[in-house]
Amino acid sequence: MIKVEKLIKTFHNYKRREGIKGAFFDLFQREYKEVCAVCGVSFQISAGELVGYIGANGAGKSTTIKMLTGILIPTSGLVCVAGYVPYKQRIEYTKNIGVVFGQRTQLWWDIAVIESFRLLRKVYEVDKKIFEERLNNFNEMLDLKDLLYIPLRKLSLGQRMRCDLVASLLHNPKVLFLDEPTIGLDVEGRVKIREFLAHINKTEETTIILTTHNLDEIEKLCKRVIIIDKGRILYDGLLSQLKESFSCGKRVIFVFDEEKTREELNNLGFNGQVGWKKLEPLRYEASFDRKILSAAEIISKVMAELYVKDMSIEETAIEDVVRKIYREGNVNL
Amino acid sequence: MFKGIYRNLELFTAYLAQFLKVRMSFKGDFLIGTFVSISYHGITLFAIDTMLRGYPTLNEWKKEEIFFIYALCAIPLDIFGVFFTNLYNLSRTYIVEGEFDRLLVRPINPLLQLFMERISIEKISGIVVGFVILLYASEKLEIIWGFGNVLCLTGGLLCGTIIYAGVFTAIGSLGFWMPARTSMLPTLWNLVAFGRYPVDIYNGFVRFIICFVIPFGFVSFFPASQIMGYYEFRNMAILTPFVAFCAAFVGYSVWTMGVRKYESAGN
Amino acid sequence: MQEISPMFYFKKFSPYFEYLRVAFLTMLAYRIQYFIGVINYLIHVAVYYFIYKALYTGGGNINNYSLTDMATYIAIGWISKSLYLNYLDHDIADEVKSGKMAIDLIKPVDYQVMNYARGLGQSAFRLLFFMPPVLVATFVVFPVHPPSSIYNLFLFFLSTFLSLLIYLGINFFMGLISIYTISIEGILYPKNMMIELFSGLMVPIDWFPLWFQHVSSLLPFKYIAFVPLNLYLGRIDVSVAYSALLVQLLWVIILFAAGRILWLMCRKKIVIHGG
Repeated sequence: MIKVEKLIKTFHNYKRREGIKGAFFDLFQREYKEVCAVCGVSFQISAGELVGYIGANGAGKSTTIKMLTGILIPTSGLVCVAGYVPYKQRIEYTKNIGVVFGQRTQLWWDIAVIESFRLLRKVYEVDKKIFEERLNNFNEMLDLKDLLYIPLRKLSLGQRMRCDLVASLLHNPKVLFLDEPTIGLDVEGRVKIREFLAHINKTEETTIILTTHNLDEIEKLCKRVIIIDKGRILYDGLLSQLKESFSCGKRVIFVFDEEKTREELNNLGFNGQVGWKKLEPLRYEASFDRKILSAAEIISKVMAELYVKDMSIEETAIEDVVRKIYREGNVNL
Repeated sequence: MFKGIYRNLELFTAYLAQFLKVRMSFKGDFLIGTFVSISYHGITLFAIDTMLRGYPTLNEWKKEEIFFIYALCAIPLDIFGVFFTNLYNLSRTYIVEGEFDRLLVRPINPLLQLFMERISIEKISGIVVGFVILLYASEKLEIIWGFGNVLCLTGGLLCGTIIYAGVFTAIGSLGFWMPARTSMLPTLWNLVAFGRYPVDIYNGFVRFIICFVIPFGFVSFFPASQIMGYYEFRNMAILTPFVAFCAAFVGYSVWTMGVRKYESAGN
Repeated sequence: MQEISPMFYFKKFSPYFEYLRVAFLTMLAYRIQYFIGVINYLIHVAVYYFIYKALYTGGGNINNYSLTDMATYIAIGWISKSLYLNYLDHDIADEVKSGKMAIDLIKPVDYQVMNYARGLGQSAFRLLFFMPPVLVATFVVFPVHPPSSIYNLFLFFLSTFLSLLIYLGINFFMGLISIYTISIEGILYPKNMMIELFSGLMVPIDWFPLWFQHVSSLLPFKYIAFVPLNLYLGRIDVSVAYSALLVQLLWVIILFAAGRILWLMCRKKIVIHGG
């Protein structure tokens, strides 16, 4: 469905000089430098996939999305979505996609939401019967009923985002691009949108590309993730595999009734295979390699020797994985 | 081809209908628009009238002739204003703040969308005021509205609107290369003032500019001169449709190049 | 007891100098705007110059102004406009509508003084970078004559500074007024037209019919352009000049006070709206 090959986008940025003197010189001459926002990205996404596109601010993910949606023209490389080259056949192409920008609404600010929908129906040339049917469907899933007759500016952020989602799906697009759709929403709003997306992906087989900073969401929605940093792809593959290979280090946290010395803990008989770290008074962390030891072994041994008031097993969170990837700048599986 | 035009017309009416609904909910805006138009034209004409009070001619042009040219400059500007106001927001709202993204992900010509997203109904009152001035002046000048003159007038107004649209689109599109919160359009707006007066009061340099570079002379003066019977300008006046065509062509070309240059805001 | 010394006042006003400096720097940052601005002024002067030139084809004086008087009047009029002009009204109206004003309210500075400082910063920018090229270009292209004396030039500058304060006062007031209306443009656009007409920038006040002259002397606008320009041209007697400056100063104070009162009223309204 989506094919991207060696995609490159460079921008010209100018440097601003400092101070009054610098600003004065800037009036007459500016220094430009070329910035590579996306440098050589390749991937393929097949129909019906739900892919998470992850990256820090300025990593190049928005730029990629904008090239995929036909907003930006690539400096070089190949983009092909649903059989179209987005920037070349833009008008025909956009009938096949839906786009949601988290920070920007597609709808008209001052008119009732339903009016915006009706206008979009004409823009995308959707048959009236199909339109009503789809709208009814979405209404039920996202319970929009009461919102439809209110001007957009009076809606809350979460309500607005739900309406924006519906607007992007009215014409039954083959591909849906979501650029940070849950930015600034509360937990409940996020859950609603997440469930909706999962449903759409399943029932309508819409290909969905989702960028977000909220990794929790990616974890609950996407099987596959693409991680981008500094314009390059760091990882492209299954989320579970990523977690698997990174969470080989597991941790158990113990709370004891009294302070323990390092010696005491090291003498528990793990032959140095467990690393101990004091987190707080009375709280200690035991980290170990899952391939060598199991959590059960450690727990039973510690509990046999010492009095344990409380304990917990910590799974490596996806956030830790991503943080680690960024720090290291590559993924070695 | 015809299907395309039909579809765009259909969309245009749909946008217009939406827009009117918004307008209705903003009571008083129309009245304010009328007030703005009347105060603008009123004040300018009052100033011209005062200037000409001592000496009733401007380089041998009568006051009423000046008013007539003025009206022919103002009416196309307001017709242009009704449909093309959004060009003013192009640089700031659309290019700098990145709203242009939205236009690009929809299956309609972005220029058409830009225009459709803001229709200044209130400027219609300006058109009415313009026609009042025109009628007043033509009454005083005893212009007979035969077939030739009516043709001249409608052609002039149409070409004038196209010239404004072309030139403003071209200059507005420069924002794609130089994104700035203020665009160059206010400058152009100032240049419009040159078109309000007979071309022969200017020196050669200004005359050249407003005839061949920024052709605002063709909006008002040349068509007006034919209606008022100054046939020595006929050779220039006959060029008006051609100039309008060129302006439209240049405007749309610069726009198309600009869209290709667009670097979306944000990342 | 609070210590009253020059240092005390300097400290008290230093945050406002910061606002002035930032406004100055912001102006510098928009270079396109800068170049366009210069061209804009030349266009304005050119349009009016050619109209007046055509008007004077018969030669002689009109209403006691010669053609060079008029050329000077327009050229200097637009140059001084570049000094007093600011968009404080739009800025304030924008801030109110977008809720950015809340950010200003949580800062320990006086909102009105802060805005005056901003306006002064913009003017300082124009004085240093904008005026010289426009001035040179105008003197080269148009037959403008120098001030009638050094003393007149001094009076002109003093008077233009006061016009700046008057203009700031009007714009601060109008910016706040637009809080109460739906359409900002509907108020501010006619306001700008009125200022242009009643300040005598388009046509000198003494060309107008008597009733208009009477009305204009009751309004602050003619002290923005007509009075400073006549000081430059030496058309106002020195003895009268001082009283003219005094009236200007009076208008500065009246407008500041009016702005202050309106601000106190608006503040309550803004707080109710939650900013």
